[in-house]
Amino acid sequence: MKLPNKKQLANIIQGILIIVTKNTKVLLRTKTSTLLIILGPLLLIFFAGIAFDNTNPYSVKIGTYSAAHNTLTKSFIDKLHEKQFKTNSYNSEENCIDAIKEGEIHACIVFAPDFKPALAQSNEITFYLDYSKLNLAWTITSIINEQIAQRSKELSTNLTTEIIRALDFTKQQINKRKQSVTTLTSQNDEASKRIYDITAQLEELDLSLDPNQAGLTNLTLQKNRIQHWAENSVNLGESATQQALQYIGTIDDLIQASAASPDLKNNIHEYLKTTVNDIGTLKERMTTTKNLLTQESNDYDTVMNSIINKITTTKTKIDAASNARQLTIQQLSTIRTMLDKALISILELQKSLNEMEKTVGTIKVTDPGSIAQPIATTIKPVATAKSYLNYLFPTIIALVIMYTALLLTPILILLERNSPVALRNFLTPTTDTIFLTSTFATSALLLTAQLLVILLVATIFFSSQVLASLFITLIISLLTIIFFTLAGMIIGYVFATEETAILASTFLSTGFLLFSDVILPIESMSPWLGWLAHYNPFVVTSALLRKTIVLNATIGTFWQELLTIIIYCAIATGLTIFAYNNMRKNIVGKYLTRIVPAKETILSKIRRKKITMKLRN
Amino acid sequence: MPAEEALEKHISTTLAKGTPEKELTQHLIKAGWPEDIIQQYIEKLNSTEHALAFIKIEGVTKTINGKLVLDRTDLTIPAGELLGIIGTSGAGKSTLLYTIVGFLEPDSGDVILTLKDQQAQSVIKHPEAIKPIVGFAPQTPAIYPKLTVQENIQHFAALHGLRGVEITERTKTAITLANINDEKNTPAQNLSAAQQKKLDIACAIVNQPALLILDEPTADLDPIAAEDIWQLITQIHKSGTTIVVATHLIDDAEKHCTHIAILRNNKIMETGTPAELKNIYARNYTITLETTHKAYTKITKLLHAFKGTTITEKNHQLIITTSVPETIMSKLPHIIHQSNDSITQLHSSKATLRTIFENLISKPLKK
Repeated sequence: MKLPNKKQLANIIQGILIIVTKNTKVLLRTKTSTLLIILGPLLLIFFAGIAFDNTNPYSVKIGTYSAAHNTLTKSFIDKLHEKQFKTNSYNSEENCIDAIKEGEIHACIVFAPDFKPALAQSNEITFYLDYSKLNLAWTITSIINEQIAQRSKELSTNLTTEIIRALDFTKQQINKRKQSVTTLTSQNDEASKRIYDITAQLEELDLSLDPNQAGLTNLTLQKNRIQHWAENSVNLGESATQQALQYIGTIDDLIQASAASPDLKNNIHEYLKTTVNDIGTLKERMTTTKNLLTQESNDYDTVMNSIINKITTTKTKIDAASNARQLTIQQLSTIRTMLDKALISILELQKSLNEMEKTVGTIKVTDPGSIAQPIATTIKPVATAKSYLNYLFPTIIALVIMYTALLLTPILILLERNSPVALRNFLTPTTDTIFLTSTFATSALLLTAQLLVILLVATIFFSSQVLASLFITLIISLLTIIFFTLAGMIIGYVFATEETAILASTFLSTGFLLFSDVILPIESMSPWLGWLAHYNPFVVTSALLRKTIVLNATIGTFWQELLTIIIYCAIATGLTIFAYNNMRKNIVGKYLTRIVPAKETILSKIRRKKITMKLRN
Repeated sequence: MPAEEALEKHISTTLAKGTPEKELTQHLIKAGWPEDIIQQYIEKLNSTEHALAFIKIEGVTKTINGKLVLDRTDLTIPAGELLGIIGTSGAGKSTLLYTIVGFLEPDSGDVILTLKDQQAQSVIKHPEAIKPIVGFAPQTPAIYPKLTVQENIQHFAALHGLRGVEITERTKTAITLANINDEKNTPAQNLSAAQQKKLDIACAIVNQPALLILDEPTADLDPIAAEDIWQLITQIHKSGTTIVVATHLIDDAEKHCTHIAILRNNKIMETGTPAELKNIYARNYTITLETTHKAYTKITKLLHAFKGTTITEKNHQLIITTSVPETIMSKLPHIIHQSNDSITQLHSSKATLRTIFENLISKPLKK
């Protein structure tokens, strides 16, 4: 393909400009088109601006019913008042529902009898909505839910505060008891140790007592021997005394019988007599001693027997003690085992307490508000739009572009296509490319002008945020204009009459609108339809505009949508060329079948006759 | 006009000598010639590469929506003709014109365009070949109602590739020629039907075409307006443009066209100048009779006795076409008397193209 040189290019551009100028004049001099092009968008933005340049649901009326209003229900209603909802109280649920049906109110809130938070059956709030007003229903649900959720959150926060408080108290108690358990553990340990020592000591304690080993028998034998010896000695003394007395009597008799002086005899006698007396005394003493010995021996035996008895008793006691010790040792062992078990339990308790403490400690979120609503549902706008208009603005732009392009472009094409002027145009050396480009440029330029007017009006009068992302908004808007203009051109070239084209445009734009998120969220559609709706050019363009105007997103976040619309533009260009060529082939044939055979009308015949008569006269 | 022809020749020879256009124009203006006429001739000479030799329609057959509209039609249109194609409604006049300009592709046959000093080429295969040399005015004015007269002409001038001053000058010329100067700033929709047609033709000639195709240019116009349009057509023709006019107004065609082609039953039946056609077909005279009672059954019966006489009743009048007008005129009072009637109107004339046409179309076609 040979590229045009500078002169040719200038010629082409001039040709396009001339046709664009002509098209614009034709359109602007047509009242309906002028209305559509200039006043339409202006009125739209004006009314949209007036209607949505606020943030309040001014006219939404909510009916309420409660069998017995309490502070809680009143607090909910107060919340609704805060959001400037108008509320009406009804005396029965039925009346409240009937009020919706009659259009008196938009929604009805029914509180459960004896409405209390967190009590099953008593914490229910029932909404009645008129879903025939779908979008209003969604809006009301959303706004009321938000208000109710706020109040619920407050209640939930209170409840959670109590739980948190209880948990905190538990934690403190655990902490406190943990010390006791530690003390208990060490005491238990000490006790166990002591039991161990006692057991050892008890085990070491020799309680064996053998009375035989006490030497009491030997003692008795020795006593008996001593007694025997003592008795023998006494007996021997007595015998010796006896003999001494005998000897003394013999001596005395011999002395007396001797020839010793009487005196001597006497003296000896006397002496002997004294000795006999002494011996008698000794003998007496010996008998006494013997008696005493016997008595002592008896006493000794008595004592000994008493001792033996006592020893036996002691042994019995010691045996009993030994048995008791054994029993004690056994019991101590049992106690120790129990203590060990108790220790294990205590350790387990301690471990559990530690874990409990740890677990309670791991609850980092201690703010009741956060627990009551762990996911922060504070709805914060991603962008700080000042009014509904700002949210609505991208949709308005896309809507205006779509409707105007889909209506204006086919009108522009069919105004010419259905006029014989098209035949003359096609008979000039001007190429089809120039005609196509001119038609596109006319529509696109008018739409761009419209867009600029809308942007200007919105910025000046309704404080729109467009200026923040003006450049990218313009690029996306231009792509939108290109696509919908091409779509309009396809309709203009495919449909033969203005009526069918407008019908097709209306059908197409309504289809685009229905399968978008303007009326209902796309998410409410069936999955495959929802998926398909995401590729709806209107959805793509309004999403792109929303991202730029409302969210101030960068190009990196919406390049896919951008690519989609560019692809759409490319496809639409191909289809436009195809539709144009097809129209071009058939235009003359259609014109020929449409033109009325050149017959004189009755009126012209009468006129002709009259004039002929005049001429003749 | 001999003076204009002389002017054309003078311009041609002077420019051939190398005299600049501007100098020549100024010279001729001083001599009293209108600037637009001078410019018209200069442009005509400048566009000799687009000068038409002839157009030949060869065996064109065209069916539209299953209906045969043209059937093996042949026609040659030499340069300089003002050719009137006459035919009844639905005869295929418009179809033939649209085929000539390359709008319609025939089922068979071809339209051959031959420009002076150039090889002949098929308009069907190369529709762009005819575009620079053709001007076209369809039956309904092909104008933008919302644009003014001037804007309309300027627009088509631009589509023909004219730029800047050229557009202004050509527009001015076309407006002057069409005599709609007073209305140049009037929106086309506010013009009368005749003015709209003039504007339509002005738009068609803004590129100073070698060939001008006009489809029913005077349809729905009163006779005065129609005459006005014919004057314009004649004037354009005189400036050297070959013109093809499709019309069903045979009298007008007879009066203004240099050549006539009669289209009947999807074919060109006869071609020639009106005089030629009349010489061939119009030996008869036409007697128009109107009686008091307007009951012509008996009269018709009695007139059938005369050989070479055809009788038709039209608009309560009896149209008698005969080669023996004197005999009939002498017997007519007697016949009327016999029918117990009296003459209210009697008119005798030699056969016009209309009567020829009517005769031709009433004849059954030879197979």
